[in-house]
Amino acid sequence: MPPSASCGAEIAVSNTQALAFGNFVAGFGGAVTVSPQGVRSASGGVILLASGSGAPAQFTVSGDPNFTYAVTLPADGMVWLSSGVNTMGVNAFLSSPNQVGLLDPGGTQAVSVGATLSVGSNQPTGAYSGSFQVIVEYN
Amino acid sequence: MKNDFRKHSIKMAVVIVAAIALVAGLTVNSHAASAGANATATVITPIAISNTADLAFGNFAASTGGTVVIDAAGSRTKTGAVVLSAANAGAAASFDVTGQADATYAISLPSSATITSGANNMTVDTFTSSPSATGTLSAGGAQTVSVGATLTVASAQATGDYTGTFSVSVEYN
Repeated sequence: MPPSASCGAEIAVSNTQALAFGNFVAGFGGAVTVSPQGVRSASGGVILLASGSGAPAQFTVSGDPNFTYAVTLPADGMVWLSSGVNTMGVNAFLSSPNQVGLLDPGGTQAVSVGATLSVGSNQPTGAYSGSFQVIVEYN
Repeated sequence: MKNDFRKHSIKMAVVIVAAIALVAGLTVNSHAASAGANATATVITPIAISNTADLAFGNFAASTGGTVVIDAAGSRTKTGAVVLSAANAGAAASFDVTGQADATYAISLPSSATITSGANNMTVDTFTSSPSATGTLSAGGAQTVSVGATLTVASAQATGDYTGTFSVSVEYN
């Protein structure tokens, strides 16, 4: 039965874990990437610390069993982490499942989201934070 | 005819209400939903180490050889026939480590070093430190590391002033 004729359950999404880039030294700058699988890597002069290793964001999508849905992540240039007046951009959002998901026979699916953080040369030290939105829609 | 007109009006009203519901927007659309999430990162101060005092084994007579030991607290002892002189009791090396407040770090000591006087040399090994292996920076982001070692003195080791260098490295862990 196509969704346009009759929707059973509303689709819903909730956030269960924040996206964390962890602890690192900025050095001469570069980037920190956390993959949807939770693998953290650094490029350029960024030095990662073993403690505070970062984690992908986790969401739970629920709705009609076996229905597919589209996942919309923030575009580049839309999300920033800030600490006082200092900021770092978050781009290249990626999810698993990527772009399209399939709710299981129980009507749920977990979605992990990773991204890449741009770190400036001698980025000022501090705890940075920000937020972003994820949209899911039956398709 | 009056009846037909009323029926027609009701049908029209139902259609109009349905159209308004479809246009009402995302909040009443059961086909899409969104959720927000936080994102965090912590940029920390780089770790640094600088030497503030040399490792000194002090003055001693070699005799038929042995070792001179400086422990991480700077106390000197000897083994074998070496005769220590009170004229210079030696001292542990000292390093200042700075970085992120309360961070822990690993301390790497060399396996050995050589001190020389002209063509003569002696081996320094069994380096020890305080703290040992891992340190924790204070709330102010600093800690002092003291380093000692063992000097092997040969029988009839040639007299003279022996010098050399060694490196200590630190890394956040």
